[in-house]
Amino acid sequence: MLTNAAMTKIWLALLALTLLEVALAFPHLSPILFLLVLLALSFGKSILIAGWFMHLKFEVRSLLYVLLPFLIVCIGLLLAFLPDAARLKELRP
Amino acid sequence: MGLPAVAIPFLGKLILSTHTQPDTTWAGGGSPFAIGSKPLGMWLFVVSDALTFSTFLVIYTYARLSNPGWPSPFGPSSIAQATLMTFVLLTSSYTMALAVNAMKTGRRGRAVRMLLATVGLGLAFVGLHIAEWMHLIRVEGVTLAANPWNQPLFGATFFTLTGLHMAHVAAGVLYLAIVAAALSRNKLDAHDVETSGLYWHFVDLVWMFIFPLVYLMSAKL
Repeated sequence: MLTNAAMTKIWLALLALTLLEVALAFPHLSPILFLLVLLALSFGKSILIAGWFMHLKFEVRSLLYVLLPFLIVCIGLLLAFLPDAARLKELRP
Repeated sequence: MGLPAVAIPFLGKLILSTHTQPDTTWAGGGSPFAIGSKPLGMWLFVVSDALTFSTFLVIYTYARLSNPGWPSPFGPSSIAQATLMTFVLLTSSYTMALAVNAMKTGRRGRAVRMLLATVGLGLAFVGLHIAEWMHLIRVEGVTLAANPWNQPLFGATFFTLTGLHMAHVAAGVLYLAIVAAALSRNKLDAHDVETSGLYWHFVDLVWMFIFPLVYLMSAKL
């Protein structure tokens, strides 16, 4: 079991990452770069929440494998639809 | 003959084998995932619900990418409010984790107090979110089907995605309030608090994608 002090560190790290996300909205990065940076930070925050707050890091590996089909479907959805969205934009008169 | 003739002896052997080899993990002699049935059930729910949210996020992103002139209606005050909402939700996850820890160490009273703090923060999030919606509807003129920027899909996808999340937070507030009330009457155990915690952290985790993809990507700063 994680100590309360460890939980406090995770919470502060999550708040700091959120502030970093907001700060990055000000320099007006290119949309693709901004999107990639935000996604990377969001995945980092997800790992902190799922791994520590939800204890996934301390569970047996088989439980982690149960979550993999979701990730595969999610990435598949993105790969299938986002290029089509960009294509649709170019087809507009 | 046919399928029953094959299936019945097979199922008979299967049932018999589980009764004669109870010590093996897959025969019921242990837990394959080394967690209780309640947290496992919640994990499976989380996976299915994550698929639902992923689909809505992909729909929002698809609409955004395929429509030139997608609006950026979130000014500094909206971004400040959405950041505050994120802080509130993250803090509620923290108090939830403290409630689980307290229950695991046998401090039932502290667990109830932490759960009530989580409920309060959840209510604050819902209140702030409704205020944000009201600003968009009344001041900016955004509805499900129309908005001043002539991008009807913006309202439809925004309200559906954030509305689904808000409904999850509201349901979570009710769930945690029921758990807190039961705990205060010496009912339920640490597994029940852990299970409710999994749900609440998941709701928090989903917002970690909605906040940057919906608000920050459409910020007008």
